[in-house]
Amino acid sequence: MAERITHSICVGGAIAIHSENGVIRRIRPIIFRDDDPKGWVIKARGREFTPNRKTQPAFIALTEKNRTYSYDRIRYPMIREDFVETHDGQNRNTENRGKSGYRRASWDEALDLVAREIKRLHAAYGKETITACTSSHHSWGLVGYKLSTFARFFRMMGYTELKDNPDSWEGFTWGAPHTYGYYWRLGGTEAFDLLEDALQNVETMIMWSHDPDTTRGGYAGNESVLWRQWLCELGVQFIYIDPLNNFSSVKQAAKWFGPRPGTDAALCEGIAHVWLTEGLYDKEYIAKHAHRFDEWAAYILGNGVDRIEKTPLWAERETGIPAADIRALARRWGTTKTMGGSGLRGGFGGVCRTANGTEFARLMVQLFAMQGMGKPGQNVWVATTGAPMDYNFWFGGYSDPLSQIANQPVADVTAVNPVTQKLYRPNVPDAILDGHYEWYGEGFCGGGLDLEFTEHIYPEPGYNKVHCFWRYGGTFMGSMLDTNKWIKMYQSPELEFVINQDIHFHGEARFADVILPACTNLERYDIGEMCNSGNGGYQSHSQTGNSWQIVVFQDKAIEPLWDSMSDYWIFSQVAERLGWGDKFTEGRTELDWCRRLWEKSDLCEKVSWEDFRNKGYYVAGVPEDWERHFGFRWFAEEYPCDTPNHKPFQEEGLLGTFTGKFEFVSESMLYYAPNDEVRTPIATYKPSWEGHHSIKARQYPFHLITPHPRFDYHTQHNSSTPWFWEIPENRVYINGNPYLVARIHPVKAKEKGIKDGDIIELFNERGNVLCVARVTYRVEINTIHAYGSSGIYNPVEPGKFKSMDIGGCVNVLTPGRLIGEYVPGMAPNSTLLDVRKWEGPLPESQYFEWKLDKVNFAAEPDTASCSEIIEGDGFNKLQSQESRKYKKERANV
Amino acid sequence: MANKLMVQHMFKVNGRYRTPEGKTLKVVLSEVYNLRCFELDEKGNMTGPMIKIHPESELASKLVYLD
Repeated sequence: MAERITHSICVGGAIAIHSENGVIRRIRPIIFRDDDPKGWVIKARGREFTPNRKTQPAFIALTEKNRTYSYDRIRYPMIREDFVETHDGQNRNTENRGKSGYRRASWDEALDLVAREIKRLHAAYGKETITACTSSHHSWGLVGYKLSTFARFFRMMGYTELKDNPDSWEGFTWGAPHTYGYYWRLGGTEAFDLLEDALQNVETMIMWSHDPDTTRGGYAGNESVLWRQWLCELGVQFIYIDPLNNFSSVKQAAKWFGPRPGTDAALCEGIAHVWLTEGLYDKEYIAKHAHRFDEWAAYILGNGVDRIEKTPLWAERETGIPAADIRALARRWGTTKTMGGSGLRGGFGGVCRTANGTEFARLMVQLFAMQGMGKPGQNVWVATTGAPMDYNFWFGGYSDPLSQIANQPVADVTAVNPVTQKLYRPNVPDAILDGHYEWYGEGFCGGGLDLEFTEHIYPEPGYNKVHCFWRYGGTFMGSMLDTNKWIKMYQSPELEFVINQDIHFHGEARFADVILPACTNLERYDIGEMCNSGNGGYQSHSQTGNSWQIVVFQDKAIEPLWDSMSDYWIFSQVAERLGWGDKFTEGRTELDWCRRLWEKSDLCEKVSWEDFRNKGYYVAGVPEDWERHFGFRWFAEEYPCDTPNHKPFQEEGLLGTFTGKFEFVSESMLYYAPNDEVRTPIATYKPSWEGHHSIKARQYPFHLITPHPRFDYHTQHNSSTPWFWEIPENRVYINGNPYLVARIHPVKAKEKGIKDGDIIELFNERGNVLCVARVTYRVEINTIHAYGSSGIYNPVEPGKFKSMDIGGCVNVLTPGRLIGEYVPGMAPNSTLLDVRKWEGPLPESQYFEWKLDKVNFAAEPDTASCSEIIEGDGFNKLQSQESRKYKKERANV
Repeated sequence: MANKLMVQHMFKVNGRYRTPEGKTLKVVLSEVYNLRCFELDEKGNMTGPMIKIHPESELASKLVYLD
């Protein structure tokens, strides 16, 4: 059969897929045709800059083939071997969750069981007794996305909603809005047209806790790598501040600063001290746009309540960065046109996921304000967003209510959840185990500052507790903190029934009573725009992180493998069994929903449905004379705000704070929570509750930092893509187990007798994890670096509380504690631990493969085992089997 | 540009407006260039394709706010 080319989007970018005889052969970027629009051209400093005529996906997208045929694909519906379907939900051997194996079930058996249990639970406790949640972004596409199909099903059924915490930008969400508003962007700022501004004006880039080649601006793949190269070619000086001299830094940094983790706010104050004492800030701007600046300045200069002057020498003692370097950094920043910020879009970064993350975020914004934020070449912008785009073309992103199949106008009827009870993601185990939990905040508080201070109680008065958990896509054992408490929760009889619906056999799937195998988005239809989080949502117009605005018909490249099915099919089958299947589907297939999304957007004006399907993508060109809407310029130059997705008060020249100005003393904190010990009215550096000043540091002297991963997207790639395990900077494969790399400074390694490549044990009172040591000067001397959420939860004694992990699941070590009483954010980068060379025996293999092998061999005796797929020719064997099956089916047709 | 935008925010997101032809529109987005609307049927359901209206257009000036 001829080769077939289809297109799709993954979290790593937009791709073209070559398949032949029912199997995926290769994956590549989408190369644009001559009849696609021309790229934008930016003129700057005597040069013209235009993007390459192709998408630039990250390597995680280019390895989707390996992930699709992965060793850990869930091939069949499965039921826990010792699960007993009792009439009252008791005596179900819940203590064996995580330990027990599985047996294969037919779809009918599994779905009938799920439907029976839902009916039983509803009758016994009411609709609120079921909770459900997704991981973040396990699969791209507006139909399959968590706010679409998943939301439609659960809202129609009624359930206890599990609110997400803003896990990627905690400090910015809970902190920065009290300094400059932007609560509707969860503390991030606006980057519109700042790529052009930077190419024309900027001289220095401050990349604070930012590794753009790794975190890729979110979902934009490698689209912005070229932009940073252009800036380098123009002589722009890049300064990186990160406890790890990270992958972007080693490529382009003029200078790397490695602060002790959790002390970045002290560095901010040291820089401010230099500016205040040497007059290196924009006094006119501050006089116009800042509120109670002098009180804050007095605090920095030693006239505050603590009477401590925040000199560079003081900052050196906290951060470990020499005072002379702090002065040099401050002078460079204060005397050149400087842009920068933290993390993947300027308001993210591991630094904000610390006990002091809110204060860092506020202080960082204050520093940019002192330099005239919004003036040409002066802004919060980190070279990952802000490309030109045609704002007049609208296609929805995943957070747009207008582009979700749960809602009108895409659906005929909007799905509404009748249950008001809620749970909060980081503390689900606490709530389930204790039966009571209280917290502040709505999770994502985009609707207003007041939402941060709303009180929630579980169980809500008048409601029953949760007794069933439906977990969908990915795993929190790896991305949420204090992994062991999740084990306790899963083994509790309070959870009478656990369903897991996923593509791969992730850590949490192994604790389920019934497992429903979903297919990848290469095996079903969907539609989506690359990197569009929503034009109006919390990351509005994030597609400016791309060089091209591209909407893709995510065609089915191959049929679903084995017994896996699309999430939409699974939910529609359960809905059918519950008696409301027609209401759920409205008579539409997934392809119908794709067409519906085309029809309800500007896409239908630009290209016919047939042409769009045939070509597979549409590129929205940028007019040659596009109108510029430079982010924050309106505020600096005092004209009514003209940037997309702005608020009415911005047209009056006001920020989203109480005073409409940069608040150096926060009036909103004084109003809502004047006694908050974390977010004081004046943002200040405060030593972490788990940091180098803690008593605990005597026993556990190292800081762990677990930033967003390079070889993963949340937990969805590294664990299921063994090709990555061949990268020595990622993992080392020993005895059938891929050990995650943990980085340690040579001085400390020598003290501990550790050599590069040794197996080391990271440990504290919460648990222990085996990793492979990478001894490198790239890491700050007191720091252990191991990427967060890229771990495979692989305990040597499955299902045992506090069992040692060998998959690199470093969240076994991180604190479950929230940032503060009023700040329900998580702080994985406030973790203390110790490290030692592992002298014990090396466990053999991954401890969950046998569960899959057992089921798979029972179904197909000649199939490949997990280890054959990882190590041997099992991968080719799978593809050959699929190809034969495909040919046979074609012959029958 | 700035003056145009002041007009943009005179329209209320999620507000219902009557057109000169008697149709009822719901404004679902207020963007830099356009108000984006859907027509409402007699039951209040959003129907048909997305309608773009420039906030400075003649049509926009004739929209009557309902609620």
